[in-house]
Amino acid sequence: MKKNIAVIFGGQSVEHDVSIITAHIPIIQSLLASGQFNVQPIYISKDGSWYSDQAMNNLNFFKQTNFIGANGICPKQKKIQILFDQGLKLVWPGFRPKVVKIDVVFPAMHGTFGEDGSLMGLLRMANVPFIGCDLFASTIAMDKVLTKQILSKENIPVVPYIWFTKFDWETNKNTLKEKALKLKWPVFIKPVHLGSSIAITKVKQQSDLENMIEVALHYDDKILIEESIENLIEVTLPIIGNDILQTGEIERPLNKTEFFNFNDKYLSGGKKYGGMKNRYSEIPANIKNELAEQVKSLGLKSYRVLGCSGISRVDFLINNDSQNVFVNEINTLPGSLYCHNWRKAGISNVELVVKLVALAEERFKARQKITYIFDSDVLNFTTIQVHEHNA
Amino acid sequence: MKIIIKNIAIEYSDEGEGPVILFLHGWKDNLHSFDSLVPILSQQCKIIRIDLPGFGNSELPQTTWNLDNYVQFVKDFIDKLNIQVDALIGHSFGGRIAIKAVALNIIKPKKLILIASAGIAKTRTIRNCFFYIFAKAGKMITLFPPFIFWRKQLRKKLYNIAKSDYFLSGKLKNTFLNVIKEDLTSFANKIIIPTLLIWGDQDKTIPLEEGRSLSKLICNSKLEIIINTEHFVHQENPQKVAEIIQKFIL
Repeated sequence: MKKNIAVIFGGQSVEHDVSIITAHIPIIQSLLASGQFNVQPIYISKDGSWYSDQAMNNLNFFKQTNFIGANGICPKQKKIQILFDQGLKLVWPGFRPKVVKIDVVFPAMHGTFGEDGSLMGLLRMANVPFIGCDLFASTIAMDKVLTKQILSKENIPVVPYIWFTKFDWETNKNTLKEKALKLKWPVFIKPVHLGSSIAITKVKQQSDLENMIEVALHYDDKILIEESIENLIEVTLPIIGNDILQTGEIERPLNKTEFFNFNDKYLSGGKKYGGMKNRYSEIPANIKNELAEQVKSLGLKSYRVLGCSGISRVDFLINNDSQNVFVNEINTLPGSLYCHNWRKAGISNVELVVKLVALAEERFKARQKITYIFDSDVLNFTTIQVHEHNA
Repeated sequence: MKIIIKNIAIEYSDEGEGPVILFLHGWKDNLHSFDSLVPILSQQCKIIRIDLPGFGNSELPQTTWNLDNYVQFVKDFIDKLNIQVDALIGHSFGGRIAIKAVALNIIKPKKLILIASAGIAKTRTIRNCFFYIFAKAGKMITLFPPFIFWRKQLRKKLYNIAKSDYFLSGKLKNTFLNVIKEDLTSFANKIIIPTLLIWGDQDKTIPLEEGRSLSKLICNSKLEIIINTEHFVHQENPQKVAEIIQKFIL
């Protein structure tokens, strides 16, 4: 019997549209192609409403100009409800409500309210297996500063940086500017919680610093400023697995701009694979063997340190002058699962999604064995104490 | 490149070195409207272009704006960038902003260039009176069946025939109404800096006649007519337009 798998995408995030692409290419397409699943697409609109319709299994549904109204809701769709009842159930309300029990969930939401652990928390509460990293790894990886702090504690090299919040900036502007000026310039300014390189700027002149900080703080309340490596080799390594890990190929993005930005990632070309061009990147990256070994070793270590499971991608910055390798960030939901990379590593799109489902179920089973509750008489004891106190 | 002006993320570009030229695009347009002019002009000038709030990659204003809001926005943008604008160029709606900003001395460029600029209200023309009466009558008739079922489509059709941007303005519909209702005739009269007007002789959106009227209103102005071009004259004949601008500015 086919399993009911819910693919959740969209959401209240600046990466809402990218999430729709990831959900369809390759996730829904491959799940359907495997013939093992009934795919239940769940689209979360920009206003946070949940919708589900089989028509949403087709990416073209979201290309219709009128699928979303001015207020962010789908005017032609009925909102669904979710029910936590011995697992996760979807409910289409009505005179005779339709209820579908979900066996596995495939989160395909980038950024806030999805990839940041919010959705994973909900799915843990619902007690349903789900693909990809769990709550804790997702939350930490979504915060670039927390990631750097944890990695450095484990002696994993990261590029020198400073960080601050909007409140810090508003109350202590001059001190923070001085701190930023002490870094080796040029510098990058990054919102801490956003992915897809949104609102990341490279600042070359000190006169631009304040404006660029304001831009980053417009999108996030916590930002970081880090040194830029000028003679840079940027590489990335996708990894899958829970306890036994498997690496993909080391990939080098062929960025046309000064850094690998949103346009390079998603808008740089044809329709195939969400706009990615064929020469989007070099796979495997043409780097020295010693560097490749270091990248793989640091990648696996970072994956474990952050407690990743299912799938993640570790991004690296290599200083071509000093040959130093730095871990830049960890992405717990790589765009389109980096299926192009896995294909080069010999894993087809269908094999990849089926493997990820198996990993999700494996983790879920392991979690079922953990004791979360135990009997206690603390309540009775508290009652006695209260009586005594009242007396 | 982005900048934050009054909590709105604004997209802008800054190319070249030399006298500063600030470009303001038209309605439903964006900074790329001037793409063909930039390679020519940036050889000798610093070209700054913005996506006005609600257009291109700039965010929408939180409230319904009027022309004064756009004028103040451009002033805030200039102040934030800390630049002295040598020439202000406005196309269509951008021209509207430029006329009011310069007339009120809110922005103080040395020279002003208006390309197929809007600004002289067309409310009193016979054509507009006809559309006004037709719209009012249609509004009444479509209150009753069977016309009520086609009300929305008929309304859309009428706006299309009238060549109005109202229906295409999306969330800026009310802002559009605020902007177009203002007649800038009295403001154009106050402009004293050297002004160049560039018009396409085939412009149907803002006919050449309005260019001639504007030229009469602005005392220190000169009207250049580019033959066989329409409303987007700077895109249709960029070489010629750039040449005229260079001659005027440098």
